[in-house]
Amino acid sequence: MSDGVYPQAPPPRPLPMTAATPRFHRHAGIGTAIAIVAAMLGGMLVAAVIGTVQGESLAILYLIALVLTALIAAVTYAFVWIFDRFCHDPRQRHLMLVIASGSLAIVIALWMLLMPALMSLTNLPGFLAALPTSAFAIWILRRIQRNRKEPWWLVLVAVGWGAIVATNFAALTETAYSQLVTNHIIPGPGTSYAEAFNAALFEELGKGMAVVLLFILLRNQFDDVVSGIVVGAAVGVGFDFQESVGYTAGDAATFFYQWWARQGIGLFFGHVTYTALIGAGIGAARQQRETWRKAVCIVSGFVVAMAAHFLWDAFAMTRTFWDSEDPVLSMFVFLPLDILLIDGPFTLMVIALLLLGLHNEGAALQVELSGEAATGLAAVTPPEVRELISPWRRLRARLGAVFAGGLAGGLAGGFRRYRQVGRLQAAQLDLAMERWHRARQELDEPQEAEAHLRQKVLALKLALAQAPR
Amino acid sequence: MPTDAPWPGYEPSPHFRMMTAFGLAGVLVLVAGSLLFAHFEPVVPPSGLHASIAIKRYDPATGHVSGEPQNRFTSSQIPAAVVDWRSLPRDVVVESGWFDTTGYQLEGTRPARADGQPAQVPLSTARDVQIPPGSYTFAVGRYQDGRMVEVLGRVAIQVGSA
Repeated sequence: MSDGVYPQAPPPRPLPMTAATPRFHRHAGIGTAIAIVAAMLGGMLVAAVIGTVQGESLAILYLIALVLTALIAAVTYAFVWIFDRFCHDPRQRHLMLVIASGSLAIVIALWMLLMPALMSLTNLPGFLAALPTSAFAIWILRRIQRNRKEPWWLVLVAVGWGAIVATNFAALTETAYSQLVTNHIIPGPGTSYAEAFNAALFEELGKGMAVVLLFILLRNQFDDVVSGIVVGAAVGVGFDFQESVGYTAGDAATFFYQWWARQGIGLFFGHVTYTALIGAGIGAARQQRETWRKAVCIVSGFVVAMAAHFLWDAFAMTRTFWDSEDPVLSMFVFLPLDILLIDGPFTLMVIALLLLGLHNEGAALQVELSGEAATGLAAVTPPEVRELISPWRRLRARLGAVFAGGLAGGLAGGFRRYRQVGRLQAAQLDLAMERWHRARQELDEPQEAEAHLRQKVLALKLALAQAPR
Repeated sequence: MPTDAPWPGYEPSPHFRMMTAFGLAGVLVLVAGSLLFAHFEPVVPPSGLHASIAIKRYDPATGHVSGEPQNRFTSSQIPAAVVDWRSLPRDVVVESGWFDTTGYQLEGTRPARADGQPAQVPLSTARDVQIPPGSYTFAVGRYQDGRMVEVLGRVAIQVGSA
């Protein structure tokens, strides 16, 4: 075994196919994910009907889009059902299901993209001004995940959900709710608190659903509270980006104030903090053994996020912020103070959870990397343990690889070696994380998965050794 | 795996207490918010009273309203509510005001008996003012214990760009 050759796991057997039922549960949890998306669309349908009854033109447009989507979904399902009756080849049936669900997803994405696209086109300066700051926030979020980073595509999906899906959900549901409040609640502070609840409830639900869905579908990408915080915060960045585009529309004073509040001083507060709290709850739930504890963690994340959002909006809507008539004082003294005092404690909660999560990860990696090195299977050697547990030493090793072959390979060669070492380190950390989750009895995967990861590490080591210098 | 748990990273329930404590803090905030909402939205038996309101254009130069009732204005037009206070008993204590979509009161009258209220309530009395586009609500309410406890009439209007 020490030469790095491991028995291959047998290929998975195809699922038994029934004659005429499209199988949607090829992935663990996909049924739950579909149910959540259906519930979300159902909620939007109810809001669209309420808004339409109240005469809201936005709600009427959404109602048309939702009804058309439902019709297309019904036709798609019928088509897949008929196809499955006559086709018994699992591969073709799977392909048809992928095409059909992909087409449906495109239909939904098209009408959901309409509002963000219109907002961006009508306020191009706001769109362009929010781009670099949001990109910076995403970069920071990936950097704080010191050990095993979420893949870029997952982070971007989270950002995209926040910017597109969550904003659509919030726009429609909040509009319908606001109509009810305007028509039935006594104007004044009562309305302000009702509207603060409105934003807290529907915006956090819309954003939080992304984290829940990603957790259900991509559980392997969630290690612990750290992964949850990063994915949650990424959803918040997307939502904050789109909101910034909307709120910066107006005169120059509005533009700068809103940009500063949302993309400047408030970049990591507000939505990023709120959804990070939801993500923290889901990440913490990942590591609980009892179901009730998982539920408490998830509910706590949602509740504290909604509370944080409510508190900010309650101060904003009742105009009880500390503020000044002087715009300079207002922007650069009172606004930062308000953010620190109202959102600050919640951001501190995220930081505390993040630091504890990173501490736990680091301690566990030390144990698991040492354990792996002790097996003598060569995927991790004792001298590598010290390097792998420290992000700085890992960086130094990657940079060392750039200059390992002198200048013979040129810049491209050095960059290639940098990436090769980076991939090797990531694979070794994946292996350690796998061992950690197995030790914590958090894995459903067979033991062979660990052997596959070891093989991958050894293959990367071999490729690195054979790489031209 | 170390056997003498809780070892960092191997606790049976990492961060559970912390998440629960944060969740409880969230519950406290939301309960406090609900109590504040309940205070400003009290459950009172309806009085059956109804205030008749018309929204017209206001001229800040003359201080008078003119034209037919309307519910759509441009930014350069100042809406004013004309309330028929005679539609209410003279001794009922009322308050009226203009509110934005977040419930914030922009303009309004002080709580007083219906027969002591002004005939018209403009959204602004300033000259050359531009009303920010958006939705506004004018409401007349019964006043009791330091707050409006029942809406006796309300009208929503839209202000669009000039």
